[in-house]
Amino acid sequence: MTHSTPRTAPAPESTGTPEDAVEPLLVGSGLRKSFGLTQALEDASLSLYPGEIVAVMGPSGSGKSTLLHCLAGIVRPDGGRVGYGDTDLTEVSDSRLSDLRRTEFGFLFQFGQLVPELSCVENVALPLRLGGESRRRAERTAVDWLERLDVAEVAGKTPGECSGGQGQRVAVARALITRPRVVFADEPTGALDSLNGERVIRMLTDAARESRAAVVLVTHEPRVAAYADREVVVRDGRTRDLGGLA
Amino acid sequence: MSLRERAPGKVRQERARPSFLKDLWLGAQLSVRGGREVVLRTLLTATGVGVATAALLLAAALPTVMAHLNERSADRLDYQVAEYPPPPAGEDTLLFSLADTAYEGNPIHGRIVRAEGSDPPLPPGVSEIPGPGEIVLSPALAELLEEPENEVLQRRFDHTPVGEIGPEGLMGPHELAFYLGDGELTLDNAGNRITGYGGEPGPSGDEPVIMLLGAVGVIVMLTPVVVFLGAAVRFGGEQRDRRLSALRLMGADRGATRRIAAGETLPGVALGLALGVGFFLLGRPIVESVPISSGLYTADVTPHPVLGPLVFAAVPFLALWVVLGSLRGVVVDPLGTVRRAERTRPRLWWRLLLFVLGVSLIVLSMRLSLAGNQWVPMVSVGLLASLFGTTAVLPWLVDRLFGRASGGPLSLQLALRRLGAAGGGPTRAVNGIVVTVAGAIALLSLFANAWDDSTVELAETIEEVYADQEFGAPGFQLQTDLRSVPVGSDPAGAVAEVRGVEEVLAYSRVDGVTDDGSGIRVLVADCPSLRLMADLPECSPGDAFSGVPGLEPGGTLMVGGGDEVNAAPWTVPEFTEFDGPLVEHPWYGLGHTAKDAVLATPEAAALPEGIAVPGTLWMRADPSASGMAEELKAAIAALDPTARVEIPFASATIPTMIRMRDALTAGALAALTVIAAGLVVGTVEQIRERRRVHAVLTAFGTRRRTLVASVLWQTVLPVLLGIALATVVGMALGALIQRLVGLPVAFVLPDILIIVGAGLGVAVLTTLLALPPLLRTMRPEGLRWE
Amino acid sequence: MCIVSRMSLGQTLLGLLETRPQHGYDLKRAYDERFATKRPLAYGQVYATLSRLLKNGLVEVDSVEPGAGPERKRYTVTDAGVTDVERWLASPESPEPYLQSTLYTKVVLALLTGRSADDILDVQRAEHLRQMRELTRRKADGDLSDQLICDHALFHLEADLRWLELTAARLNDLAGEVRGR
Repeated sequence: MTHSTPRTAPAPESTGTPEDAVEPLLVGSGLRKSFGLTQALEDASLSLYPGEIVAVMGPSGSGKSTLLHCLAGIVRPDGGRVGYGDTDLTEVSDSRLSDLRRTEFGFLFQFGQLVPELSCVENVALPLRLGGESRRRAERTAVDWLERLDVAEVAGKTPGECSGGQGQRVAVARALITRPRVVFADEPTGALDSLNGERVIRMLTDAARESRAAVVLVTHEPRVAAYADREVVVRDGRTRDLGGLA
Repeated sequence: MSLRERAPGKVRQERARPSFLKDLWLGAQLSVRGGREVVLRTLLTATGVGVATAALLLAAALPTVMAHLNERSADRLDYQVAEYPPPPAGEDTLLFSLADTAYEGNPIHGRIVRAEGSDPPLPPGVSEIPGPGEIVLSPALAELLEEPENEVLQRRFDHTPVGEIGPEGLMGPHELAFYLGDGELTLDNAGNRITGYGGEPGPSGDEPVIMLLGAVGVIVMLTPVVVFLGAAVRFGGEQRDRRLSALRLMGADRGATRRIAAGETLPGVALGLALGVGFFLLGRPIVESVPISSGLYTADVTPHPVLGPLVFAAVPFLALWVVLGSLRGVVVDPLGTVRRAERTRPRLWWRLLLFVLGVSLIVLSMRLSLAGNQWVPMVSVGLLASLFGTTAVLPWLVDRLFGRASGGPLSLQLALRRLGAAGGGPTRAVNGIVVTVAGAIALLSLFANAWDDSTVELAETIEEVYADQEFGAPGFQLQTDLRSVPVGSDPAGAVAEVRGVEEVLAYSRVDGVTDDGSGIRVLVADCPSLRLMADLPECSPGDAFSGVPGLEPGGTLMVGGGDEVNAAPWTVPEFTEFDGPLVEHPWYGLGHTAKDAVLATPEAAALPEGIAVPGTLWMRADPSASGMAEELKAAIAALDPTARVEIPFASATIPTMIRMRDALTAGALAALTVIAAGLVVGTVEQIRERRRVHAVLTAFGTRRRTLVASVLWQTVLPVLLGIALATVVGMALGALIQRLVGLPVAFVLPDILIIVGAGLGVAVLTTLLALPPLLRTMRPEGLRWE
Repeated sequence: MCIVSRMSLGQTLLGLLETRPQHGYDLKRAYDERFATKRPLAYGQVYATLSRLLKNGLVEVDSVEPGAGPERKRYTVTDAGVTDVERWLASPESPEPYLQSTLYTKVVLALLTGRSADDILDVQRAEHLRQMRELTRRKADGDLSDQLICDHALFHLEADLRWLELTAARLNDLAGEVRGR
């Protein structure tokens, strides 16, 4: 890894704007992206500090997911820059991005993220195995994570045999197993009812805080966003940071 | 309330249940209005149906082909329909002698003819009997003679062409045939006189064989088409699922959605039928250029009046069956379509039963020594049954090998799990491969009998064969009979000029009868020749030799008698007694000895005028001299067009059989190509279905090569498995048949290797073609579509 | 009942005056038209409020016209009055039931006076979310009854926020409608 973001940077306790002394971990600024004729992002910026949980809100179609994809190096923006440590994600090669996503980031989506043929424990172990860890060790760690998220009972089942809430908790385990510095969660509760949604978001935020991972949480549900430390609103492809206004 | 007032039954009456046909029609309309995917699916379906239709039409033409061949063969029957005793010569009689020969292994149908009057019978396809020195050629032979590299053949047919044999007189466009006019033809040297050509077409004995081989072939070849269709109708399945769900929500019941889904393929099927007719009509003229045996005329390939229309009825049902099969295990509900996760286990037992039944049929057919060709239907049915039975083993094998496999790289694990879970798709394609490849290998082995018939192996080397039939002191190997040796001619000299011919001996012979009716052969040659023909004492011109008991010099022998030639008296010259056998060719020898032969020098034996004096040539040739055989044939043809010389061979293969083998292999390759197309379509569709998983995996940082490798494994593994299974089963079936017929077990290895190689090629090709869409799904943008 | 609480009647009138100088009678009519739901505003209330504003220097009399009835004073807003409106608009309302009424008034006034309604809404949503975060945190530490109470409040706040979200999305339409009057 060439970037030099200090792993030892003190994370803010749990809430509030981080102290000025701490360097932001991930900075997206002036991001623009269009798909065909549709302008998804016009001028979006977001700074993410180590360990903080930022909710990205906004009406559907406002560009929330695109912002997340740009920040995570999944989509290359047409303009702007995404700084992660010393690295500008908009400039590094595809394979470098892949490496980065595998080792530094974790992902959580609304649905359809678990490989249907693999058992839950294999799904959770996947990111470690992609990193070259042996199957046995990866799966042992995966079982620990499943226990932590209270879904050890589905370890041997396939995602199709799990309930939505269980599946999403398995996905949380998978997002966190590599101990990422940033977790990108795109509507993680979108397909769940209130109770299950709350359980998932609570487990995600608790686990992220415990492992000092920062979280970019895209959601349109205020109650979910309430688990974050601050909010960023995206409207018509532009961000409005509400953190300072409150 | 007005709603209450209406009787519940009335509502139902107003909306009569849509009929089966209406559902189909609705589906058809829906498909016409679909987007790009539907159009693509319609085109794919049409292609599959088109190929199937064309193949079936071709198969439906087989009876016509056989009937036409049989008719044409009957129309030109000649010696078979000749009267015996021969009728007297007249205005309407034709003399002919058989002159069937071969050029470089290709048989030539030949007749030497002489019209005895102004109204001779004409062979079919010939408008005039050629006069002396004139020849009528088949187009194929004419073409062969045009080519400069066949100069030696040109010398053999150095006559004036006066016409071509029409199609009605040939078995096919590639038949080599000629009718050569000859003024010296007599009933005695020709042997045949007829007043008309043609007889009743006999029951063509090969028909059931060809029909059944055709049936096996068609079914083996249709399997890949079904595989392709299966993949085609699944194309764009997601979209269709959504559409069907919407229909369910609007009140269509399960049966209706099924019918509507089936109806969606109808435009494709209709288009496919039209395409099939097009393919057939376009492909039909091509049969004329296929040089298998005599080939076929375009007109021969006409679908049977009953079977042809049947194809048009059967193909839509085949397509419907495939569509409904593709919906098996799919539950269309108003809110979505569920593919049942747990695989419905294919009923193993009946397929295994099928396999056992097939093998027992084969064994039985061989054990019961059935008359004629009755074994063919049993073997064919047995073969098909065992082939389809074999496919039962596949899911089990997949499950065994892939279901619980662990270890290996991640890409392999992903692929194995996918295979284990997906069941249907890949296995179906592999089923096609198994049936095709195993079928082709088994058929190749089944034909091994025929190959063995077509390949006669007499010895390791040609020299050995020549050495085997050496006779006489100089070691002659070859003999040919000439119908006449004109006085003063030097046949031996002409032949001796041929390169590779080392020694030639010529003699004349006449058969005579003594007073008491016993036959005596009179052989006339010069002294050096005579001394090679028997163990003689001193010889000088004017000498004669014999050991016939009671033969008196000065006595009279009647010699040279025939059907139309009266024997002439010949005075026995002074002769010296000798004893012992005459030297004879080991194949043609009749066991003549001094006791029934007179050997005379020309000076001693002036044979009477007016009788036919045939001659014989003995030759010693160097088999390794290149082109010797054809040159020799040409030299002899110049002496006597009706003369034939048997050229020995160490092993001979009838080219037709080789071509049939090639055709079988080519057919298997074509079938594999169709399977490859089906595999590509199926794989692409699968990749599209999984684009979300791929996008997520990419987001996770999965490397490209991991996913590519996983897809590669996914296609290569089942194909490998299928080919391995097919090779084993095909060879086992072939070996079984060979053992049962008591033949040494042998395989046509090069062809097997070609087929297996092609199968591997299919796997690699499929992966390569599936790569671009795969890479597309791997763009993380795939996450956007939810 | 009037949708604007008494506390904010002053600011509402100030805001209305900011659009143009008006007579007391016109002010009442404008108010009734836009904000009154069932009962129109009493004249007395209008004049009492105006005189309080006059006393505080937030409005001043622009001119006096003689008329058939009582003399007609035309009021206009002072700089201090504008500042007062601004401060009022910028300060979030404490999230409570029927908050929309006040918020609605704020949004309409912002649009009438050419201010950014987006900002008002965003400030409000930030405040809402702040409170929701607090409730969420309290819920995490509390017992079941705490959780239930917090959930109740959270769902109400969420409904408000949804309204804010919708309003933000409709602002353009609203702007056209308000200015059109």
